[in-house]
Amino acid sequence: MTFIDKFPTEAKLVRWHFGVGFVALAIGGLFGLVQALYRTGHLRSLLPINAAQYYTVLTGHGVLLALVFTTFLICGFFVWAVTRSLDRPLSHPRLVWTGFISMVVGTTLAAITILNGFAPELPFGSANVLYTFYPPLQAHPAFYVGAALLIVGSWIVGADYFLTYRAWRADNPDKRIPLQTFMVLATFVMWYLSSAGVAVEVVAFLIPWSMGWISQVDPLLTRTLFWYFGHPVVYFWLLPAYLAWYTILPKLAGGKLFSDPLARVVFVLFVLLSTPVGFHHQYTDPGIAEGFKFIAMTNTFMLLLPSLLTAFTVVASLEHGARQRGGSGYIGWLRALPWGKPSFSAMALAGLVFAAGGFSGMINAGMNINYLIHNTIWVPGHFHLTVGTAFALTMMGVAYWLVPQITGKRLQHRTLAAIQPFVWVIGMTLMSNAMHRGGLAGLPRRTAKPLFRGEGAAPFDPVVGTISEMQLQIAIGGTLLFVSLALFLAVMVGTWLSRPGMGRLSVNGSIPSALSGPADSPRILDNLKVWTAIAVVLVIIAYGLPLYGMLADGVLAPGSPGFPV
Amino acid sequence: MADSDTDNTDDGVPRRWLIRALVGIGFGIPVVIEGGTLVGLLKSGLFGDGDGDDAATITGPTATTSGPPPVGTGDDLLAASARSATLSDATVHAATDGWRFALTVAVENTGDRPYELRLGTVTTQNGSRVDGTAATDRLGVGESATLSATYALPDGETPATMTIVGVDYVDGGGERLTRHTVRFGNVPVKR
Amino acid sequence: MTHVRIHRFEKLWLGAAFVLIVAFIATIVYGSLGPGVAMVGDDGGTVNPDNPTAADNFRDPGVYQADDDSYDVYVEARQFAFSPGTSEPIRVPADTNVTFHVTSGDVTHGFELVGTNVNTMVIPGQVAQLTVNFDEARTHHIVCHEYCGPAHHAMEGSIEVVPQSEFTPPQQAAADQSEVTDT
Repeated sequence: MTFIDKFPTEAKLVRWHFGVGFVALAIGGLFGLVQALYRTGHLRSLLPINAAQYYTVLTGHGVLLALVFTTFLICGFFVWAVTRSLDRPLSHPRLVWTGFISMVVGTTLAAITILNGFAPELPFGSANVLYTFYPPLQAHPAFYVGAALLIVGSWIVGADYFLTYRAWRADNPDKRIPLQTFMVLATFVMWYLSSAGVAVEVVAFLIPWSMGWISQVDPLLTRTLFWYFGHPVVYFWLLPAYLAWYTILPKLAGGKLFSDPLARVVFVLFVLLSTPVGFHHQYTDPGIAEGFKFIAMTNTFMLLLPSLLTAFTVVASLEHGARQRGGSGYIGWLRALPWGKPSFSAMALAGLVFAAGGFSGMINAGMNINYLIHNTIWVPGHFHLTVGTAFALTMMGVAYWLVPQITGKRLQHRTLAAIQPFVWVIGMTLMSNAMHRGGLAGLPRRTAKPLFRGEGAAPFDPVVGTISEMQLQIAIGGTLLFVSLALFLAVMVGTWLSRPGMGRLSVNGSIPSALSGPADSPRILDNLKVWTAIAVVLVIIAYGLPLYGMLADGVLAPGSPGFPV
Repeated sequence: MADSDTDNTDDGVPRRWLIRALVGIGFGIPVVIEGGTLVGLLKSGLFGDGDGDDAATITGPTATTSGPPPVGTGDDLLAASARSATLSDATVHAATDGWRFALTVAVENTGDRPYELRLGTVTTQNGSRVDGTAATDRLGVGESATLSATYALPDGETPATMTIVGVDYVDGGGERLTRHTVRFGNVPVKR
Repeated sequence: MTHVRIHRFEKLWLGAAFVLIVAFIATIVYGSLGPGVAMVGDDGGTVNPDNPTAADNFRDPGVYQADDDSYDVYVEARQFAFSPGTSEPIRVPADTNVTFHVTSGDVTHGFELVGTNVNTMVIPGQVAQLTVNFDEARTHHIVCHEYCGPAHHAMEGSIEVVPQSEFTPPQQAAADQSEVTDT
């Protein structure tokens, strides 16, 4: 029985979350194309923006894709995962609708302030603060209120995952938590713990400050609160992709998950270690002792463990699936995988690209190596492999498989869908490769025009290639990514608008159980209370002293007044 | 089996070739790009002198620029001539209602004829051209004057070069024009 | 009683992953203790962001000689210029210990010498402090690498490292700060 027939309310919730997410994806993706062309100087004169508005585009790209698209997709995807794996409807769907509306209102407020950069006649004021909104750059209060409503909305949606789980537990006192629900709950434990940081930053400091109720904020303290959230948020993006790789991808490959217990171990490690790592974004910050940065670095490197375990399990599951399909040989089994199935190829390619992103992440994480690439274009080169591909492309793969199940409509434009993931990977390879090389040469990120004025000679001295060749490669890569995005949206819109019953659905939602099931693992793995408590202790160890140091000289001091942009 | 999707049932021969081509270039291009980068890094690491300076030879035309050295605050715009025109201030003001390039030049007629200095067109880094009209009065020998000018630049652009025209008043009422192109160094942008 | 069964290959993989992690941390520790890769910590202290140069632990922007072979460079970043650095290059001698003290008079900026690991955030209220020994006489370019407003991309500067023999010690070396002009 299809998901939409069995759980119509939940299917509608997933549809709405995905729908809003895809609108954000379309606008944010268009902004990305504008950036790639403007920044690299290709077709710059044809673009309807000036250099100052580049930062409006950049803010919109970051907020709409990294915060809005991700959060809506995750909340919708998890509604499906909880409902399907517990095999029961949500306990309080109205709560989820409330959270959804809060997120939509928040997104709208923030979007209006961002678009003010193009059209000052819009209500409120501007918010050219980028998605990190570091004070003392100051946005209109509506931007901060919007951000808070987005975060709080996701908390409300998440509450129903736990309430639904509790209802299930009452009926099933002795069963193991189904794997997908376990993953959802673990992800949200981490999300509640870490997003509290940005919530405090926004609600306690930035909203009162932008309203004029307090005259100053401490830039280092607010930055630290941001990054307390800003690294775990990448695991908030990544863990849903892991959920897809662990539970959906093996089935699409024709096999089964290798090991259920190790999947649980991986998610527990993320609950423990995701949050006490934020200082690795602040290696080059003054005012934070090197010892605290070192603790964050150690935790960060320990996080390699669950990701490397994931790489093993996912590849092993794929190989198992390929051999079930008749594949053979050391490498030859790869040919037996269903590369023509877009849901499979998107997820599998996303996983491969994530491996590359993981390696550049190890460079970022190295406390002193980081100084070479901090805030260079290397960094966006890195995270376009992770959130920009590991998350985004995986979710596109999920959509190819799930949207038919939540709409009851067959996937349309299947050839376009089959092409799309490959175009994405080619575009991303071109763009990200050039960004990494440019970063090694010191090319900064977040600038409308990265080349030096005056001096005549560009001071950048690349080891491989030339700056102008990299700029061209970035422009071509960004254009291919936009083409790929347009293909994806065409498939989605075509499917959504098609009449139901146009042929039998070619997917089914059943997921085979793991080769090694949960019964093999200790029950303590499922005890999220214990893991939450340990995670809190680790956070206190990593953040207690440095936060105390920042607060001790006055909560608002040394304080800066606002600089509206 | 119930848990395998039936996506592939409509695979025709052309579609199979399409998939093969996609897999071929989908894996091939990344391997070529990343492989090329790896080879470049190894070459530079093994055969270069290690600090990257050798790479300057392959940075192409952007690495070298001909022409006069760039000028900054305190430099003489007419260093090559007998007159002196010192750039005493040059700033780009990034105001919300537009970007303005303001400069002040202290001109001294150190030559032996009456002289006039005109500030001409400013060309931005992006190639936009903004005309200027500022000029000193006719300066007698030994006289000096301070010349200030403001150029409304396109938003986000900064000055790269400026043409200046020196006017020599020769005996008998004639004028002799000398055109110089000044290349700016770092012009600070301020709010 | 149950226990997690782990495949032999997975155990090998797990072991290799641990080795990798330990090796990474070891390289960083070695880099700090061995070659002494300098990093930014909290030893710069704090200043009042409204008027940072008035603080006890900061001076008027400029180059100061501390002793025979060490210099202090105080840099104030403001939208959209480094002072000194943008209007006029920062001149320092090669083969000496040059300690940069960098702070901001308005928003958050960045301070990076292009292509090197001399790289720090410039946060209002904090003084970033890092010591560099330039072993080669050449020009380095300074870039502001954190978005600081609509003209961020125009914020840059330069450092001229000159041979010690050609270096004229700054006039204010005798701790007379009044001669330094704040541009």
